Amino acid sequence: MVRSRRRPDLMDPSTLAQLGGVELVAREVVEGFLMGLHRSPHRGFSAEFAELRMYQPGDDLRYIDWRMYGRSDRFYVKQFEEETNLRAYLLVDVSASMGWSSDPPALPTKLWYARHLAAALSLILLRQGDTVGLSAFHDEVVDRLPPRGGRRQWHELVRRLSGLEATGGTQAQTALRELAVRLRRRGLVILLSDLLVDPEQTRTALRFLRHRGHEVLVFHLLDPGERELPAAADARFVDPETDAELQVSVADVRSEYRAAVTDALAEWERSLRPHGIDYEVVDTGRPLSLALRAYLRKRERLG
Amino acid sequence: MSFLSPWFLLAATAVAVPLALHLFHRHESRRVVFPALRYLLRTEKEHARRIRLRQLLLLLLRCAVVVLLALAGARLVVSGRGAAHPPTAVVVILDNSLSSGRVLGEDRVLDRLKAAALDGLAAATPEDRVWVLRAGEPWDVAVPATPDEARVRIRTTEPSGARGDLQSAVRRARQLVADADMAAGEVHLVSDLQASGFDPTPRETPEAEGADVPVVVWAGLEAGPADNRYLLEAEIGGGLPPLANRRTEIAVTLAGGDPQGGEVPVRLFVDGRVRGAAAVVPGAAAVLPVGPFPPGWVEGYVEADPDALRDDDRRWFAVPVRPPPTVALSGDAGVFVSSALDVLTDAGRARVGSPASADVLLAPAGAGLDAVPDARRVVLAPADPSLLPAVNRRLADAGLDWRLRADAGGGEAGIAESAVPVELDAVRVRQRYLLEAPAGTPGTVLVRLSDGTPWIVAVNGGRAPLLLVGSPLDDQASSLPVDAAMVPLVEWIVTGWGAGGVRAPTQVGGALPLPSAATEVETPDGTRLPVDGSLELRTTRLAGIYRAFRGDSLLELLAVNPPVSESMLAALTEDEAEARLGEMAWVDNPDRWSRETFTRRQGYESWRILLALALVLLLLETWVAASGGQRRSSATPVPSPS
Repeated sequence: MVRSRRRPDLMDPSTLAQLGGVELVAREVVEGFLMGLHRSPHRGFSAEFAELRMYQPGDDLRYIDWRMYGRSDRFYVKQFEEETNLRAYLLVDVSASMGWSSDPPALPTKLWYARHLAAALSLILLRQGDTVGLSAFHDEVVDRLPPRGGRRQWHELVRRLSGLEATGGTQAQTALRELAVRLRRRGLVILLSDLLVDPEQTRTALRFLRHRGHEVLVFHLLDPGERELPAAADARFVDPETDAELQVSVADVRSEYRAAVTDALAEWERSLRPHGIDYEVVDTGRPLSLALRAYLRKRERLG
Repeated sequence: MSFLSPWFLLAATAVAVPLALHLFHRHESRRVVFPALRYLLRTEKEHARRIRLRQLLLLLLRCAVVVLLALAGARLVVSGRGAAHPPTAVVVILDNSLSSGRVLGEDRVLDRLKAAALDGLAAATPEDRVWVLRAGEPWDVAVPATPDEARVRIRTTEPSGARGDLQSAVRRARQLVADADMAAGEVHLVSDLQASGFDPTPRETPEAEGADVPVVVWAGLEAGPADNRYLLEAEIGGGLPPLANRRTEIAVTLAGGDPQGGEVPVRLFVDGRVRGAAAVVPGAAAVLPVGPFPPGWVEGYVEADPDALRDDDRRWFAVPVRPPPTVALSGDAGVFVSSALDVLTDAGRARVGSPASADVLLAPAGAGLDAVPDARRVVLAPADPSLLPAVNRRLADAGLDWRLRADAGGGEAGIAESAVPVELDAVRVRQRYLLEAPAGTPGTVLVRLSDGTPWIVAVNGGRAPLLLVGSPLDDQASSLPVDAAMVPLVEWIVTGWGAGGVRAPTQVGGALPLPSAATEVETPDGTRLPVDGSLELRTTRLAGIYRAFRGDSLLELLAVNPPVSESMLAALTEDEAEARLGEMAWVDNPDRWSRETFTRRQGYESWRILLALALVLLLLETWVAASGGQRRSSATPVPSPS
């Protein structure tokens, strides 16, 4: 009997959160995500044999191990250890604003989303034989894991990601500058942040990273509740990072606010794209696969 | 500008709600943790002025909506002529008297009056209260109605054949309006304004309640020909009832019309059959022989060819036919009375018999009053004043309160008033007694002398009617015995009064006296009405013969004829009408009629416009509240989430 199972990478984050911890979720997402591709182009196929695995639809028929088929009457494909050619740095924003959700517990926080997206990206990168490092920051870098490859690195990454807490303000530019100085070898820098930061200084820092030869991919995590003001009449809105308050009649500014968010996103895009910095707005209410696809597009360009 | 429901203006105080919300509400708002505050700050910074302007615009729109709703609820009326008026008590006096049946061109006068009355109610609203008073049916009960019910009542009105007492109707209408206690009130008088509907001469009336109620008089009716021809009288037997098996005559008098117009055919109908015909010139009379009849009742009518006003071209009569009455003398009445009785006996108009069997007892000095208590009795005053005590004692014994007293004034006196159908103008009275009775005693003065003293009095208080004559019937006391009126007077006493007389016809709309034993009356259209014989029948709407019954037994036939006054067509002028009705609005054209009715109209009621405007402002408020960023967002590319 065939049991249909929904692919985890296509699940809503709220559903995904019920599956388990970071590691399990990331594995499920990545497996589902890779299975959904027609082939697995990002698995290395170098001359050095690594292992056999069960054939999956979409795998290249050239790599089927016909001897194993003759012995076991099952299809296996041969996999090879690819040479490491990419060093990836995951920069995760853990400021207080990342711990916010517009509709808890139905909608996970932006940090949850960043944590799982980072884990999934790490798994993909590690499976491709790349090395992955991690830096978590708010006003300063609060955690750092140098880039390495292998299963142990994966487990360490998951452990570090699981322990992240959303606290403090966001002076991302400081942390980014510090990281830019530390990252001496060129690589892929993936920033996961809600970008509630000083825009100009942050752009300058990102451009500095680009200037240092890094490929930069920015995931702008946006809660749906940040695109639209809540359905309230009048309210005092409080910034959890700065404790700044603003008295607003929601009905009066709703449309202007929507326009302001749109303008801000467009401004990020306008200011980053010309400098070769990829910018993706990630809605935390949408499946992780969408963000992963953005990564794949970037990875394909990198070769 | 005014308001029909001004208390609703209090609702305008609700404008304080949006004001309070605008000024105070935001200080009591809830606290929301919101990390994207920088976008809000940016919004506030970039759009502060526009937001403030829009908030102000929204505030103004919301306040305007509240004010418009309050104005609509208060029923704002803008100046100018229009349909709006406060709830009004309206009394429509529709003149359906006999003259309203006149034909003008293709229509009856009443049809035109009904159209005018309906026009007058065109502006009425369901909040108004309307009474329709039919002037030709004064007994009609006034019932308040809705305008629609009033219109139905107007449309179903027909000419009544009675006289319309418009002055009484106007007084009654004003009283109704005053009692209605409504915001406004007025009286619409819709009439052909014939003088017969008013008192002949203006007279001062005391200030009555409702005197300030405006009266609008419709005077737009064309005059039409005034020379209406009508039957003035149809008198049978010269006022004396016909005797059984003897011929009699009917005198028919035609009046009005054009005397130069030639003769008019007149026909006599008795018991439904033509019994005579004549051609009469208007202003003249024709005498038509009729009879003989057996004992009983004779009924019929005389009619002339119809003209524009047809209801007065027929007059009805109903008379009893009896055998000649038996007369008895209870004493010496003198040679003149005896001679007169001999003449009547020889002519077959009366019979002389014993007091016990007499229909009429002539009692000189009251002699023998007790002997025939059921007969009609005539008490002749004695020539000798010393007999007065004995006469008064006999009257007292007969249960009568009338007395004769000797101290009447001296000298000769003429006849001042007479209800007796005999020419008594030449009679001079030298000796007479004063006829007196305590106040309230029944009795009717039939003949009054020029010095004011009663001379012949009819008394109905005892078991049978009694006639008191204040002088002895001899040539010493008066000139009557030697006057030509002597025999006719005695004949009237014996065959007219003594036989019950010929009842004068009642006019349509007048009260019809009934026989005391009557239990039912059949009207000319065949309707049987239960009645109390001790009362009068007031609903005499139709001309014709009314039949009084006791059970199934016919008691009496009663003729009811159109009022002659209604036939004399003469419309009042504005001044004459004002002199009789007081202050009024005289309207003689249809355009003014629609303007002068509902005089408290205050203009156009605007609640529909105000509600529509409020709705438009609400939609505008919704649009303004929802507008803003869409215009900008359409001009800026929006990054979509991956």
